[in-house]
Amino acid sequence: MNRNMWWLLGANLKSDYRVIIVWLLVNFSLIVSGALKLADLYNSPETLDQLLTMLRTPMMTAMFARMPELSQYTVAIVYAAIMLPIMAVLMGLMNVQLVVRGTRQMEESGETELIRGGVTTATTPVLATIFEVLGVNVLMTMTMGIGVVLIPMHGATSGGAILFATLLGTFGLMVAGITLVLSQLFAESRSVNAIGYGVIAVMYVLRAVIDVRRAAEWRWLSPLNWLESARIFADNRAGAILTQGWFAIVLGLIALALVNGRDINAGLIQFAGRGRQRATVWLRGFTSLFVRLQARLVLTWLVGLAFFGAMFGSLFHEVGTMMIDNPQLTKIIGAQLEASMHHAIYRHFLVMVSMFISFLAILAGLNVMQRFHTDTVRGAYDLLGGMRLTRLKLYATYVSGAMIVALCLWGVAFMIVWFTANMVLTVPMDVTMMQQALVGYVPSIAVLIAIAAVLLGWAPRWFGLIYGYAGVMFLMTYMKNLMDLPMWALKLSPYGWTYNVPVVSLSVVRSSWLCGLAVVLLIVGYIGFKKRDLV
Amino acid sequence: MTKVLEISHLNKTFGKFQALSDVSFTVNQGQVFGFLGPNGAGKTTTIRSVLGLLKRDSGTIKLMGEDATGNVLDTHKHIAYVPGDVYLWPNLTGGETIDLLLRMGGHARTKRVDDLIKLFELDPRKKNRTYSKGNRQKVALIAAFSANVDLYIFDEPTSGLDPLQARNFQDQILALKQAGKTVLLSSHILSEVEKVVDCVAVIRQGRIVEVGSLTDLQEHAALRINAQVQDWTPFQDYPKFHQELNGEISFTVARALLPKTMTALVTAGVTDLKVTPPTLEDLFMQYYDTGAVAHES
Repeated sequence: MNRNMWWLLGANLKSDYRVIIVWLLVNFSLIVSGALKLADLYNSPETLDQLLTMLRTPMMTAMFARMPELSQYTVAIVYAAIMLPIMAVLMGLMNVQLVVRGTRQMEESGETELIRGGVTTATTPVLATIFEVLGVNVLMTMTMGIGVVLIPMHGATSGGAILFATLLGTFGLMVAGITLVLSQLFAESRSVNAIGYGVIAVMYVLRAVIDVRRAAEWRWLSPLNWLESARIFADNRAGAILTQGWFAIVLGLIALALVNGRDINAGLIQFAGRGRQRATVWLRGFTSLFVRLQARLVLTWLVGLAFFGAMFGSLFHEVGTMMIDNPQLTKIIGAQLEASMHHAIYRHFLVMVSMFISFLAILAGLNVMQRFHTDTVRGAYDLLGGMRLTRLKLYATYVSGAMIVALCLWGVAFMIVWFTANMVLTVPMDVTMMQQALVGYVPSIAVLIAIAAVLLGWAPRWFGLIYGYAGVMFLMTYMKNLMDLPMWALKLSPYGWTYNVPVVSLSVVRSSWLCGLAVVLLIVGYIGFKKRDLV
Repeated sequence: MTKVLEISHLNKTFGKFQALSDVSFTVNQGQVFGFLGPNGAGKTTTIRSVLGLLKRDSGTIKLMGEDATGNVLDTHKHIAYVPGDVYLWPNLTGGETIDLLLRMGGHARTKRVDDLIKLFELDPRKKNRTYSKGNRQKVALIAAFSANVDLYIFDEPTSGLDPLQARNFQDQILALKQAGKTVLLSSHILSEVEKVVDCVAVIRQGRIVEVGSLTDLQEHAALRINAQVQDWTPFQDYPKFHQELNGEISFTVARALLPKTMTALVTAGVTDLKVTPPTLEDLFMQYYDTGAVAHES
């Protein structure tokens, strides 16, 4: 370690400070608003009991978390159980982003080469990134800990608050460690990002499946289940901190060892450097080039979404049976016929599954569109500048590509949910309900992709904002019931307009105007794209 | 003479920064036109405006008599272009990229491609991600030279090439010239440009400071005198006066003042004399130093 590492760390912090501040604000506000809302909404034993009844249903377990088995509950215990997996996912996303910025993106932009030309070793940039994420996670831990301590919640203790925040911090560091290793294995930041985010998504889906099935013997598999075992504000078990901490340290050391064994701008997993001497017949123009360049990304998303679809689909069986077995709930719902009860339960669970899958399909579409901006920055369009390529074709290729990818992935993943659900259920899913859901989410997917197209046309530098917008609005819609969020706030995004489909059926009028809005936004985006500088 | 490219009163700003200011010049059929200027002078901005990658604020750009950025499906069939920084898609091979670029430009692949691959010593089976900067430039150059178009635009094309390949590049430019093709060559490697260009435009801080044929410019500009004299004092006030350790003096003089200077040299007891026209580098430095032609007197 030399002085240059500290200079580099300073430079990293200077280029990342905006991102860090945004994450700090998002995490802090979620922690505080979540605590305030829960403390306010569930302040009596009766309301807390109702909340627990709701949270113990398989659907809510899949969505949020498994409640610890205790004789007595407080708001603080419920708060920690619900918030821990969600906040852990956010901490994970932040760490993937920061590590990729500090490692692969710097290498791609040539900065690492410049730095390595000086008095530095191969490990210097990795060490600088390790110190950066270490500092940021400590800062986040302190901020979130203070946030929890500040809000008066029944049953909250400072010990529990510290454990809550520290678990999140060490989880973040562990994900940073995973991403650091991935950064040595893969040569492209896009791959590291996709796999890093994929790992977090897999952790979440595994947790949902393990929790709903009550498969205690599999709880070691997803680190999000480790967090649940801490039983914060009840027993305050700190074991997961050590496990995550050790993983983070070991992964960091592995990354440091791996970086010494690879060339600059290369990954340890790299496909052969040789290939065809001549292009195949079908690589004829810009559209086929686009398909070729996007194929691997889309295929990765397809595999991921198929996996999630199958996992969620297979949960329908548990969702139905376990809910019926719940006497308290039967009491609340009343003596309805079992079949119609199942039907209602499936409908509600389908809302959650549809939201999750449609959100991922939107992210895949955004990834496809974002490639335009990345390629522009790298200079790909300079080379194509002399080609017979109109702006309309460029715009239409990226936007329609994103739209087709998002809608097709949604359709395919949904069909897998449907198919898997039918396989595990004795009575098949209601066809009308499934059709309503399948079609019902199309307008919101289309509008979100169209909003991204407006950014592509008018403010390409701000394209990244669409991820934040989609993420925050998704989270708000996801937590609407639990946090009793107002409907007007949800309607700031297309999710709000298709909220609760297929529990409520989406009217043709609303679908039509949403689709119309998407078309208008696409045209507005093109006007900007036509007017602006391309490079 | 057919005007292949005609730029007139071109202006471009980035925010408050005026990148191009009233840029005008014409490239005629069969010319190899050198577009010269230091880094950041506006060469790439001008070329990107011609290609429509940047939107101009005002002015006109005509390619083969038509608005260059109007219908690129029509206008771009006349051009082949190689940018300064060549980015190639990492997962494609060099050979695939050449084929793709030719197909996108609507050009057939001929034997010329293979000849050029051999000439530039490119391994076309390698993935683009493994190529050096020079090899990436070779891929783009081979695709451009293989295309049969009216205007070839090269923006700093030889910055990554070794001297042998840079010479191959010059030979290809001369071959295009002989075939009656038009070339717009932006560069600041003046010794290379000098060997191939007919005309030059010099751009400085976004403004064209000189346009003309290389011969005309050399004729108008000052001559360089190198001489051995017994008494050097009468010449010490001449522009760019310099004395070597061996006593040789050098200075510049305007063509009109040459007879008077010759008389003075004889009076000073000249024993050795060399009069040379300015190199492109001399000319360029004059424009760059002063922003205008130094018609020294």
